[in-house]
Amino acid sequence: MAETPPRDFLRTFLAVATVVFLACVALLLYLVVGPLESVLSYLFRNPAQLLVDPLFKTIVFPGLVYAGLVAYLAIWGERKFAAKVQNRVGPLYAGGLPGGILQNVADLLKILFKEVIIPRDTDKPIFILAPLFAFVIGALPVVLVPYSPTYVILDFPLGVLLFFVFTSFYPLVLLLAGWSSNNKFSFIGSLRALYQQASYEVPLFLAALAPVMLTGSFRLIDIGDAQGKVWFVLVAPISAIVFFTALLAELEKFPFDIPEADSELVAGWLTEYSGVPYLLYQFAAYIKMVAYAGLFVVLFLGGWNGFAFLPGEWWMVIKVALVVLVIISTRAFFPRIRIDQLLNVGWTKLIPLALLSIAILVGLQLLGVLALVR
Amino acid sequence: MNELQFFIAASALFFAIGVYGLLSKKSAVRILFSIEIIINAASLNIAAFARFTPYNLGDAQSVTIFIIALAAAEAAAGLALIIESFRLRGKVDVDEMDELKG
Amino acid sequence: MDYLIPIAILAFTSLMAIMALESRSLVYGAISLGGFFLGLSLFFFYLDLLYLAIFQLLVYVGAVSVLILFAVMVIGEPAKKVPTPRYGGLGFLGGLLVALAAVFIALFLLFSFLNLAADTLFQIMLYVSPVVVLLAFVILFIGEPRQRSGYRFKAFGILGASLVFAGFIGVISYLGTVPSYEGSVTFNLVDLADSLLDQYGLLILVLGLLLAAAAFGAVALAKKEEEEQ
Repeated sequence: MAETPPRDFLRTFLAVATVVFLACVALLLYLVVGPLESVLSYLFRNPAQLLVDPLFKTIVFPGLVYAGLVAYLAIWGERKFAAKVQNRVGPLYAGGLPGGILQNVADLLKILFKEVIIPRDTDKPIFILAPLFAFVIGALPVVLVPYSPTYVILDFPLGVLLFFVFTSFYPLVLLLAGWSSNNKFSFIGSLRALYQQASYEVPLFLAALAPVMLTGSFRLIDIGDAQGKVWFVLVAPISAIVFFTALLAELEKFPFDIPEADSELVAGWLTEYSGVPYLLYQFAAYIKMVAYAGLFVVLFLGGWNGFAFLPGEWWMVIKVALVVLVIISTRAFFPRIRIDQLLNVGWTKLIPLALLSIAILVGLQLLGVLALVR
Repeated sequence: MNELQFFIAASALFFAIGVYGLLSKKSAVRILFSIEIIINAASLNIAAFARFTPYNLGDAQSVTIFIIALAAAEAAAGLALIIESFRLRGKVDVDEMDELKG
Repeated sequence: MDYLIPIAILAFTSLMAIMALESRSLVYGAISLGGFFLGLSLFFFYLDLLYLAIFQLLVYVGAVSVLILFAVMVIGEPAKKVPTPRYGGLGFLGGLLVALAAVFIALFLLFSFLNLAADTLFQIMLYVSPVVVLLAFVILFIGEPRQRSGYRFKAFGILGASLVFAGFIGVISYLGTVPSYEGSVTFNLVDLADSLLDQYGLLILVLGLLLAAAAFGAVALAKKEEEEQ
């Protein structure tokens, strides 16, 4: 009987596997791409030019690697923060690094090895494709958020509206996922999630109208540049509050946690999913959170404008991290509200508040105090 | 063939598909689908004329926006009717809806 | 070859439209209808009408598709009663329609590739449509006799569609070359906002009232009447 503890074996196995994997990748590059020199000369041509290369922007920052890293840290941070507030410790042991920060890797490995159960009488094409669509629609808004006037993957003239297009695609996927599970409780759960998401789209759009009115353009880079002197959260604070509340509802965070409620309707519309599809849904939710936090920072918190001792992108990263921290702290601080209270707040309280904010802005312009751009 | 003729022919193709569905389907939901296809074909036609004639682009886009909003309202009302008649009869078969009573 | 992108969008959109009508399950039909709306918004993107494309996406794919899908799910079959779709869910008639649409699109490709005059193309379509209809009748009546009554409706549908289509094409070719302004168009939001508010402002208010009335009406119609029990 071997006496080495399991943790050492796993660590060496992971180390060896990583080395072997990297060696295979290098060999593949060498064999497939051709002479290694051309690849190396593409990668290392000029560091300053590399940093603004579109491929770099898409893959590393602010694209896949950055969003994935922030989502990873957000998952870990949520569990740690909620634990500390509740006087517990949270993830501690995994990986030997302090704070259990490799816990997510352990969870990822566990989920990858789980059996994917497809129930017998489901509509299989929809059941299998729904998590993929959810992941794509959740991850796509990341390409729209600018981290500075140069660090944007897709600079669309109607950036704000395209962001909301992705928001409005999401309930479609929810509906398909819940229906294809062939389970009454899943369907009811997905209907409740649909009501929540569709109802809170309206205050979200109306509250985002205030920065657009103040800037005169739907383009996210223009909105960020227009906050050089004063942040829009100080000019239209009601809109900022409404937008943040609607954002929490769209991301299904507390106190709007009905769709994922563990104590009602099993797991809501996710009941029949296990293994990798479940992972896709959860990861989609957290990457959506990174994109929405970025949107909130650009719209209201001044974007990349900050004191001049740091470049704009760093300010953006710091602000997005703070907003993500606030979003994940809601798990510790808020109870869950009922579905009828939720819809009540969305329709009868948030929409008039958003309209009130727009009316205040128009009134200020008519009084000559505020100059709305065109 | 210039682009405007291409888009007119494309919207004619969609219109024809919608008319085929309208005439030959016996489920009220399919007929609603055909109506939506026809309305979208018309809005594609107007949008193509908007792009390829040198007049005010804003006016033609506004008209298309009206068409989209009106079609959405009509789809909501039509679906409410379909749900209500499904509750009464148990199926949505337009060949069997031939009585005024009920 | 410069028509490749719009022809690809046309192929995708017409496939989605045919699938919306001919697919075996209503839910697949509703999803295909959403795909049709998406294809139409791709057309608007190609035409440089950015705001219109996004409006179409937001309203049709984001709201109307969800509404139709929701209604179909409330009405329709539970998931386990869906028969296994064969031939990609279309069936014989759907395949016929797809073949017709593919012939149409292939004609377009051929004519744009060879740079022939548009009048020839439209004359061909005008004279070929009745022949297609005749062929369709012949094929359908040779088919299974016990389903003839159902197929008669479909033949009627194809006849009506071909007549409408031939009518369109005839009108275009009768009018001669339609003048077209092929300069580049930059997307301008200010013009749109100006025209929406100045010229059509009152209409927008009326549209809002109409939408509110439609919402009220739909809720009142679909509400369960509990007083009768």
